[in-house]
Amino acid sequence: MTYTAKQFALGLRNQLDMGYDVKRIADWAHGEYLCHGRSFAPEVQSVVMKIVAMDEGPQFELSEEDIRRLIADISGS
Amino acid sequence: MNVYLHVGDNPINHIDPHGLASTSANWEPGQGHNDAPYRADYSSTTREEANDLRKFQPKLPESTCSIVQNRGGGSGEEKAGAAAEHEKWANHWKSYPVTGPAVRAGEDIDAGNYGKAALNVGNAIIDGWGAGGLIRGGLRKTLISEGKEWFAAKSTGTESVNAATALQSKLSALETAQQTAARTRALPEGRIRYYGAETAASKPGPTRGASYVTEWDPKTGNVRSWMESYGQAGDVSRVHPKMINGQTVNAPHYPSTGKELGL
Repeated sequence: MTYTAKQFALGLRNQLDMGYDVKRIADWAHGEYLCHGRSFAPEVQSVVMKIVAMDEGPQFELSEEDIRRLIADISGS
Repeated sequence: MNVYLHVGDNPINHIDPHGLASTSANWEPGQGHNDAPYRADYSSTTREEANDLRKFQPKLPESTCSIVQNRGGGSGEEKAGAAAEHEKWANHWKSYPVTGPAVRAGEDIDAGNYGKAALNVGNAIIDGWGAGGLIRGGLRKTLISEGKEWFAAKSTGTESVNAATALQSKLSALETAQQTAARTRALPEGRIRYYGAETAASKPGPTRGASYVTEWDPKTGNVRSWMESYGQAGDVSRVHPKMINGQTVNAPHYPSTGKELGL
């Protein structure tokens, strides 16, 4: 079964609702990549990696507003 | 060797995690097993049942169980009698040394282990009585604990749920990396590195972007992955281990980030 962008957006929104914590959200996204990477829809891979990379330094961090915007974008796609 | 030679009238000689006890219907006279109800109970437990801790249940004498069960009700006289009986047995168990009941120095090592297990069970009996009527629950809990230890000792590790999950993650990550790699690099010693598409930094600075790298060693089957950050010239400026053989790694960046250094 394909892991869609909407599924990822739903999980990401849940993570964000638990609080804005860059490391926790990045670790969660990495877990999603490990568990569901094989069934990612083509557009999901780059979005997931964007979230995973948030842990790599301040230059990769997305603000809470950026993440919410990203969720809205991929939910509508 | 009969490791129960010195156990005497200890009722917890029903607990036999190693399945060493005699299963003969004719209990050997003069061997210290001088408590008839316990003998009768124990003789009904076969060696196979004793070896299989999932089926193994302690068998306490009915009289003891009824005392415990009656603690919550009955007349005042009965309650007083039950309380006295409880005190008697609680003191009886507490008198055993830490090394186990009636296990003497120089005895078989199995006997020592048995003694420790039996002591745990003894403590559970005391705890069970303390809680009033929970004796069987306490015993069962202890036996489950003992059983887990026993199975862990016999385990080859392949039964671990975590191992299956890690293997699934490992293979999934490798397959994903192989299917989505933007660049592949084969190292001279046979390792293969799959570089994911570079994610651009969201803010301007010395770091240009980062890439998720998965390395597979066909000789050993090991799969590792890390994030590689690149400088503006394309040089690797920082690495961050992420996964080894399907298990996520909580490791610092190399070199450490300002946040990790507390700056």
